[in-house]
Amino acid sequence: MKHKLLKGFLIFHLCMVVLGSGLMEISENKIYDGIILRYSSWTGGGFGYSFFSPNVGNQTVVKTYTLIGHKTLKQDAFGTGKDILDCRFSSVLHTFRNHKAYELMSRVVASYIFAKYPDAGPTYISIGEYMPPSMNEYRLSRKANRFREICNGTYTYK
Amino acid sequence: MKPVTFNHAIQLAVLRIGVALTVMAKIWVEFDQLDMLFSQHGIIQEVLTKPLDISYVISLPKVIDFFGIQNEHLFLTSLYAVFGLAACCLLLGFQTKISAFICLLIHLMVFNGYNLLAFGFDGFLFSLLFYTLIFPVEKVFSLDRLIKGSTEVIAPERLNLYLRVLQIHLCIVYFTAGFSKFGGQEWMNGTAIWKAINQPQFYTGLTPFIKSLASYPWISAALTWGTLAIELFFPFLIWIRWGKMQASLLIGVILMHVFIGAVMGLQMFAWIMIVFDLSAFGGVLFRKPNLRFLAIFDRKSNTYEEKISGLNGCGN
Repeated sequence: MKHKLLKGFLIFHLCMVVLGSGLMEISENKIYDGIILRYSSWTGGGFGYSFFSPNVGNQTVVKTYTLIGHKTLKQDAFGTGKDILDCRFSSVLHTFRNHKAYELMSRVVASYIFAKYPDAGPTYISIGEYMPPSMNEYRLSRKANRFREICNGTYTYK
Repeated sequence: MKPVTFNHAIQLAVLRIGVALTVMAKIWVEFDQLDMLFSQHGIIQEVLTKPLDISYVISLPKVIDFFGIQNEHLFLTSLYAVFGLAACCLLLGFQTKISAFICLLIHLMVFNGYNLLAFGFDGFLFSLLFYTLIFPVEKVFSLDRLIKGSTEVIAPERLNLYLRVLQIHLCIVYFTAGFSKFGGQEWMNGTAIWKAINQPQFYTGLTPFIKSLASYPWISAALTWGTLAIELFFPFLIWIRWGKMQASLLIGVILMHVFIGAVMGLQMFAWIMIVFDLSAFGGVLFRKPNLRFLAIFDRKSNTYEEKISGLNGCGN
């Protein structure tokens, strides 16, 4: 009996894994989505597995230029994967790709910058994508990636 | 009926040990950055966590709010110390169920509280921690077993059920990953790997070398379509016993993850996927030396089944 119950639960679990994987677009129903989300939040079964799809796309990076003590310009970049904090930050940047989210992220970055540099003046925040060169261009001249700005703003701590 | 895979109880030990090592590595890389990552004064502040809060699940910000914790730094440090201790116990198989529960609970709280910061790696760790909790991983190569002096083995029927769940889950993962890529312009024209290795976040010491290779369109296309083929066909071909195909496929998929870890710097993701691969299908690597036992098993003899289960291996 115990074995049958376990077997039943594991079959149910695998069904939830399939339904949550995104393999099938079954419904836009909120109740259905809610059930999958609730189940995955407790068991880890029911997440989407569509990595780098349908395309890899370009990487979004946040660059900041902060004036410190009215004489030094400090440059920082976020989302370049240099440490775990940066990798996790990159994950946030890639969650939403719209202007409103970029503005919100700019404020989050600004608050981090003002905490990091207590004597910071205005900070210019530039969000953009890195565009890779074509294969031919890279082979011929080792051309580097090009930064294309998609959103910017200047923030001051008051 | 001929067996399609060869399951071995050692795969459950691979699951437990692999997951414990993953948790330890996660703690190692995150410990210095806990305040920035998971406190209300970090990169994800209340302005984001509150609107995204899920009411029906336990999460880190909720626990902090509920207990009115003022010193978040001390709380997070203590929490991760407990997480590390539980991972060490899980590694050794000491108080395995309790350790697995503590690891799952802490990971679940962090994951649900800071979902915006989560990678694919965190999702897989979550799933595997859940399996570590519900499967009898303490019955193989564990201190619990040694202390109890237990000689009890997992019944072949049960072992097959547990491992079959891991195997089907892994197949769903690969097929979904491949299927969602199929039709994407970059995956179809063979430039996806070129685009991926050009992302600054994936830069490693090997990047210049790989970029110089992948700048030849046919190499980039071979890597792109190779990845797509592995993800799409692995879930089907791994079940077919034909020569050394199962072992070759498993090694192929592990090499793909080694490439991802070494070239793209996604070591944690690569590691958790290798643990998943080996705990699900690692038995196919032991198939050759145990052919004699498989043959015995095919006779459906209870006596032989007992002998096989005594060796902690079973065919299905």
